[in-house]
Amino acid sequence: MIDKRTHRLLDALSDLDDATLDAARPSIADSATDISDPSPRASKTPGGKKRPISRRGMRRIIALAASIALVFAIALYLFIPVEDAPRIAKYEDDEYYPLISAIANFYYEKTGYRNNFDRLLDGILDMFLARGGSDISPTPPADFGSAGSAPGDEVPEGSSQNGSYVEVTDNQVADVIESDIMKATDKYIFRLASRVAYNNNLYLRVYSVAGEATALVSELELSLESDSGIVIANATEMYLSADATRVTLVERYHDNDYNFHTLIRAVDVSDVQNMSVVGEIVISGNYTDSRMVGDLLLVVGNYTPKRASIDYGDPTTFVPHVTDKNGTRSVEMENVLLPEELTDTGCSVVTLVDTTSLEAVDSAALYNFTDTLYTTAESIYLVNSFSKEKITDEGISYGFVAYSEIARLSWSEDGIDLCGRVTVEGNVKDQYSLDERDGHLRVVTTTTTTFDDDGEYVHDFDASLFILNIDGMTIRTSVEYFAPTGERAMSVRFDGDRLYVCTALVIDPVTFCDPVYFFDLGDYDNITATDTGDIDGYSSSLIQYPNGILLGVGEVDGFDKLEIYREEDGKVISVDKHVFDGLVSSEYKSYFIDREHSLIGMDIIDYSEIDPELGVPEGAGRHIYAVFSVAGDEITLVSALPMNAGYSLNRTRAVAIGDYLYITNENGIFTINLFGGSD
Amino acid sequence: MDDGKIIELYFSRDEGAIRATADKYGRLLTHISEGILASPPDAEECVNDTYLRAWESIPPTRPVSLSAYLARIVRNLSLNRYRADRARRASTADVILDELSECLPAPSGDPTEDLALRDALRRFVLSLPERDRIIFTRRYFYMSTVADIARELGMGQSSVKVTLHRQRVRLRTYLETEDIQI
Repeated sequence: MIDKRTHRLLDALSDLDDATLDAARPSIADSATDISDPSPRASKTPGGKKRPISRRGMRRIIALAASIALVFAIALYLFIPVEDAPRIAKYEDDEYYPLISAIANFYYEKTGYRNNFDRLLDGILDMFLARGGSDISPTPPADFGSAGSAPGDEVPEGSSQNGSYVEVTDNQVADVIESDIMKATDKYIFRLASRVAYNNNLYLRVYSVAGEATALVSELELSLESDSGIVIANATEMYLSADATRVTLVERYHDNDYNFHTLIRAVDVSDVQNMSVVGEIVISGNYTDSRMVGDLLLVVGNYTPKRASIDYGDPTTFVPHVTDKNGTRSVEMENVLLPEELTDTGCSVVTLVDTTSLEAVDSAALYNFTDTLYTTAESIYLVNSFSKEKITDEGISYGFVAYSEIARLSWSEDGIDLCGRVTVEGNVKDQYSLDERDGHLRVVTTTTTTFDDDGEYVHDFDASLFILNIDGMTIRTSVEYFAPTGERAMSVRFDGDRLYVCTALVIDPVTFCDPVYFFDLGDYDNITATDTGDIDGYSSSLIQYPNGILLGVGEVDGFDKLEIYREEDGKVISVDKHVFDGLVSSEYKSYFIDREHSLIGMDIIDYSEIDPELGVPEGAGRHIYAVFSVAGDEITLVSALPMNAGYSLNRTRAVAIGDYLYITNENGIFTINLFGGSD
Repeated sequence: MDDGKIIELYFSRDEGAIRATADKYGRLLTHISEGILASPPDAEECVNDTYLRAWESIPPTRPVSLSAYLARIVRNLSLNRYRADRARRASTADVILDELSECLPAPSGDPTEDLALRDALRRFVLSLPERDRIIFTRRYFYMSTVADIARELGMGQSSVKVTLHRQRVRLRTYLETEDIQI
C-alpha cells in the first residue's frame, strides 16, 4: 500500500552521496518516438480498377482450397483428442492402488495419448528407444562369494584379536559412520583396492599396523562377475563393525540388461587369514549413499521402473523391493511417499539393514526425491530439486526459480517412519549444506533463477540460509540472498553455532570473487555474519580447525590452493594461502584431517618438481604425499613422502595410529613417522 | 564546460552560469523530471525552477558534484509537484512507489528521525556491490524505467527486475535489523 511512509522512504533516498549519484547517472535519454502503423496498401491495378479473376485462376483457387481441406481433415484425424485413459479400475482394491494410479496417470499425462499422432509417435519411440527405467529381478544374483583368502605375511605374534576400532573417515555427524574404501583398528588396516584401470578386479586387503614394518597380512579377491550381472568395482565402499569382525560392502551392481541395483555383501574378517563372503542382499535401485549407526546400516538408492515392463498385477515390476535370505519383499504402501504431483516415476529407496543378521529391517520409497542425503543418528533428510515459474503479486514473472523440497524420515532399529516435508528456495549442493541441531535443520542453498533474456536463457545465482523447525518441518527464519548477485554457494560447513560459506561467481573456466562468510547462529532471531569481501578463487571444501581457524581447499586461476581464514576484529581475514603448481586430490575423504594437531594431509602431483615453498627434498620427483600444519598464521609443510604413480589421487587414504601416519593407495601402504620424532 | 568553471560563473554572478548549466545538464534534468511527472510542460517548469534554485543557492553553497546537486533539486521539485497534482498522468513514479512500499518494515514504534533514516539508507546503498548500487540508484533516485536501465547496462530487463526485487528484500531486512521506523 502506498502511503505517507512510502513517500518518506522515497524522499530519504535523495540524500545519497555525490559519488553514488554520479556513478549511476543515466546517459541522456532520447526523446520518445511516435510509432504509427503504416496504412495498408490496397491491391489495385494502375488506374485504380480491380482485375477480374480468370477461369484458370479460379481453378487454382479451387485446387488450393481442396488441398487445404485435405490437410485440415488429416490434422483433425491426427489431433482430435481421443479417450485413452489408463485402465486401472480393476486394481482399486490393491494395496498399491495409490501408486498404480499415480504412475499410470503420470504416463498418461506425459504421453498424452491425447490424439492419434501422440499414440503413433509414442509407439515408434517405444519400439526404437526401448524407453523406461530399471527392470528389477526378484531373484537374488548368483553367488558373489569370494575367491578365497590369500594368506600373506604372518599375523604378528600375540595379535589374536583384530584390535580396537579407529575412525578413518571424517564423518559429518558424530557416531553416524560414512562408508569409505579404508577402515582401521589399532592392529589392522582394511583397504579396498581395484588393481587395474578397467575395474575388473577388487581386493580387500589387510595390512598390519606396525610402523615402518607394516606389511600385507592378507588379501581377499572379491568376485565381480556372476551369471546375472557385474559389480562396479571402483564404486564399492565398506564399513567395519565396532568389534572388527565384519566388513559390510555397499556396491553398485548391474544385471545383464544393464539395470542397476544395490548389492550389500557381508565379509567375515574375524580371522583375517581366512576371510570370506558370508551373505548378500540386493535392493532395487542404483546405490547412491549409505550410513551406519551401530550395527544398523541405512542404504539409499535411486529406482525407476521400466515402463515397458510394468505389470500392475505384479508389484515387483513397479515397486522397489529387497531380496535377502528371507525372500523378496516390496516396500509397503504405507511407506511410499507420493507427492501431490508426480513429476517423475523415479524415487529414492531407503532401506534399513541389520548387518549382524544381514536382513532388511524396513524400507521406504520417496517419489521425486532423488538428490542429496543427510543423516543424523535419528533422522534422514532427502532432497528433491525442481523448478517452477515465480510470479509476484504484481504479475511480474521472475522466470523459473529453483526450489528444494526436503523430506524428513525418522529411523531406528524398529524401522523407518515418514515425517514432514518443506520447500525452500534454491538448490542444496551436498550433505554439508544441511545440519541438524537442537530441533532445527539449517540449510544453505544456491538460489537459481532461469529466465529468457531476449531469446537467450540466463541463469542468475545467489545464496540463502534457512532455519527449519524439524517438528512439523516449517521455516522458522531465513537470511535470503546474502551473497553478491550472481554468486553460488561453492562450499558449506556447519560447526555448532558457526556456519561457514564460500560463494563464488563462476564463468567457466574462470572464477571471480570468493567471499567467505562466517555466520553466528547462536540466536536465530538475530543471525549475524562477517565476510572476507572479494578474494581470488574459491573453496570447494571448508574444514574447521580449533582456535577459530577455517581451512579452504579449492582453486584460484586454474590452480589448486590451500587457504586459511580467521575471524578478527569483526572481519574475516585470509591468513595465509598456498597455491599449488600441480594437482591435488578433489575427494574430501582422501584428505587426512587431524584437528587435534591442526594437520591436513593430501596426495599431490607437483608439476614444478621442486617447489621452494614446499621445501620438497631434491630428487623427490613429482608425486608426493604432503602433510601441512595449519596452526598459527601460516601453512607450513610438516612432511613430504615420495609416492609411486599409476593410480587416482582421489583413492588415497591415510590414518594416524600411534606415532605413524599410514597412507594407502591401490598399489600398497606407506608410512610417515609423524609424531615419533626422527627415526 | 567544466563544472568548476560553471560554479565560478555562479560565484561571480554571471548569468552565463544558467546557460552553461542548461547546455550541459538540461537534458538530464528533463529526463529525471519527465520520469516522475510524465508531462513535458510540467517537467519544463520544474527544470526552470531548478535553475532558479541553483542561482539562489550558489553561492554560498559550492557543490562538490554539480550534477548530483542539480539532480537532487529537480527530483525534489518534481516529487512535490507529483504529490500536489491529483489529476496527473500515470508515470514511472507510481510504479516505483508501489515497489518501495514492499520495503517498509512493519510499524512497531515511533518513526525514526529523518537524519537517522537518511544515514541508514546511505549506508545500505554503499553496502551494495557496485553493479547493484548503480541499478538501485538509477531506479529509486533517478526514477529510470527498467528498460532504460537494462539498455544502458547491457542487461536483460528480467535480470534488472530480479536484481531490484532482491534489493528490496535486502532493504526491508536491513531496515528491520537496524530498527528503523518509517
